Amino acid sequence: MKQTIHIFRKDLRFLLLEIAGFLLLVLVFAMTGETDYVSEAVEIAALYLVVRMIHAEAIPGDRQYWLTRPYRPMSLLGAKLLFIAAIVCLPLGMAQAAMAARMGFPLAGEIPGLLWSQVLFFFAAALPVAALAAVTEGLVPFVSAVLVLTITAVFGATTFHHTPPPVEWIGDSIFGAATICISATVLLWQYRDRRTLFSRLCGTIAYSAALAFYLFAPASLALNAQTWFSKNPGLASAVRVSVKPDPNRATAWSDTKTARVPVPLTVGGISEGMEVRSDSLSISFAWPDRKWSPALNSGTTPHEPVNGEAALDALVHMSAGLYRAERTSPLTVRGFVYLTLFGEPERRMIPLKLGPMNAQDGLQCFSGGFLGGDYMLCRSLFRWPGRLVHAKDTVADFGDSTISYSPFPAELNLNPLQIRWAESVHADEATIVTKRPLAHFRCDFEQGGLRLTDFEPPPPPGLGPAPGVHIK
Amino acid sequence: MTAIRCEGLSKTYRNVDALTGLNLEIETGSIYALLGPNGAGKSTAIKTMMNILRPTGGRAEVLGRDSRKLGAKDFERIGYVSENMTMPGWMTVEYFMAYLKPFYPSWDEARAVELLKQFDLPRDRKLKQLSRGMCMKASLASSLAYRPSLLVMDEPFSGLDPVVRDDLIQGILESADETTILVSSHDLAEIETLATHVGYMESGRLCFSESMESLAERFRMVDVTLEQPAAIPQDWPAQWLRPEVSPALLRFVDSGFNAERTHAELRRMFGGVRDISFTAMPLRTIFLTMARHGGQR
Repeated sequence: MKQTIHIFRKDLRFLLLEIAGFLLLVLVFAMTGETDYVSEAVEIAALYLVVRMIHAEAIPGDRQYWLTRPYRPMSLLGAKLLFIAAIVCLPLGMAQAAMAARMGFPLAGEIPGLLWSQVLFFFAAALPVAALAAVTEGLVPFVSAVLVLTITAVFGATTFHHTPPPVEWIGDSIFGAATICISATVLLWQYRDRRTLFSRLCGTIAYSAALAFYLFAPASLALNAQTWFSKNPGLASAVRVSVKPDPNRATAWSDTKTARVPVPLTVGGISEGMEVRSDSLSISFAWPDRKWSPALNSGTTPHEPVNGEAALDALVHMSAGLYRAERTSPLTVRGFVYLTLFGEPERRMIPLKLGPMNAQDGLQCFSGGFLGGDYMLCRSLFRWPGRLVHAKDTVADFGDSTISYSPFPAELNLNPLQIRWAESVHADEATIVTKRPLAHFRCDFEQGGLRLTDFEPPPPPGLGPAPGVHIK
Repeated sequence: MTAIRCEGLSKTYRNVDALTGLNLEIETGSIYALLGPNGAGKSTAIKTMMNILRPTGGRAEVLGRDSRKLGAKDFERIGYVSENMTMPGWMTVEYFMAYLKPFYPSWDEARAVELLKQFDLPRDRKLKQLSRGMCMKASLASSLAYRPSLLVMDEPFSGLDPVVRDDLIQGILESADETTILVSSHDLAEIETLATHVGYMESGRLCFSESMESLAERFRMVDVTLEQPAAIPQDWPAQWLRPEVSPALLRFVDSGFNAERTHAELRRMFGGVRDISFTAMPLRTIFLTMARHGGQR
């Protein structure tokens, strides 16, 4: 421990200027951290500090003076980890706490998020950066490696990763845990044995495997896992999904290339006081002579259930040729939908015109104007609550489709502030309603005896297709 | 007692054999000079012994411990100075010494102060602001201050001016009574005044390893005046190096000198020999002979 402290103090002295610059940035962040570019600057400064500190005793190479000095490997590693915890994470945590206090969030309620945020930054950001720094000799190779890894990951994620937002946390957590394990192992190998080539090779292979799993694992794995661990499967037993063409909801439309077919699903059997949201939807169309499955996003269920029934609107895009060919053929629609039931509402009435007011579930809400309009804004720290959030008696809807069911109290994001806004609210006060997810489950459905024409608006008697419907 | 023992020590970089089956013993208390031209494998050998590089074959024992297991406890007794060592340039000389002090239980502060004075090192100057020679001195001072049992120096004199070399040698000699010293160099003049033992490496192989006395005894420049002109015969002994013959004058280096045997052999080969003279060779000449001969014994 003595040697750990000794090396730590040396690093403090070595990086005195950089640390002073970093702390200054953190101070600015604590005072004005709502802006993204400040938090990004702090992130870059923090990670730069980590890299410089690791490179003070670079591991690769055979010319460093310290290699033949009585450094104990674990003391050296301990000093580096202590530096990350004390000089990087602690000030960041204090800045986030100061931000929370400045914005009037109740600190006691934010402690889990605050602590988890530091744990995440230490393990999921600083540790991988330290591991990468431990297998590179200088800043230029490090930056090159970061660029390669970032470009690969971003390209892969935007091209191949299609997990629905509510369950993204599962893949993120698995990939994050794998990255942490790989980073910790590489750091241990490097500091204990200094086998750089071996560490680079094994690290690259393991990281690539983790990334490949993250990118290419089917979304159904995460959805099934979410369903498997659902706490109240009994709540879902009465829920049924059926296809009910309804000209009053949405109707088919086609141009020369594409036909858009709204598939109105009805979710029935929902208990009183509950709401249902779709996390993922799969539909296939079967005609006597062919089958076809479209790529779909989850359908939307924007309205509260009426008489235990909620509407779930899905929109299918198909080629106009296919539409024309099968328009009148007998059709069976099959599919399944992953649903989440929300309930146990909490309500709190808050004035809107007095600035941000604390509501339940770590939310602060207020009305504000920007872009020439009036909006109702709600914000929270460290993560958006995994709840449905409404403002009662208004149309305000705070991004229900992008909530996450993650059980963790914070996301990996240095800027802890999450803000969402909803449509114009002119009231002086509003009742904020939150409902928590009670059960996640999958519902299969099948409806035969249909035709694509059933999804079209009914033609006015004797006039052919309705105006606006162009079936060519 | 053996301070360093290498058995078949080898190091290969990709497909290049930098070190091939090095067998070496360095006795405790000796000053061992490892000589050889650039690229001979001296630095690789030393770095492998110091556990900076991992051997690809064989093993080395340093102060009785497997070199691959050398750790903090062992380096408390080992000093290492190298010409191309990356130093923490941001540290002042004084802070460098103060920083290293807690690492060594045997650190002698009085000795450290004395060394800084002896080497005329500016305490408040940053290491990156020092000349190469001064930096080497700082490195040596920091390695002598804890009175190591073994001091290993890799090309410590190369490119230094004579005054700095002299200072370094002085410093080394002063600690020689309590420290085994291994020094690699191709600066032969200094080594000759310093070393008790010498080894010669070429192309990753150790060509010989022996005491300076034995080496001086073994090598002789032989000048022969023949009765009549002659050519170099087919059965020329392998230990007679770099033969030169003008009509009746023959000159070569005998690397396994034995006056009687050399006499007898010359008479057998050439018959009439008018005159033979044997001249002792300085280390520099022996080194050059070996280097030009390609390291063959």
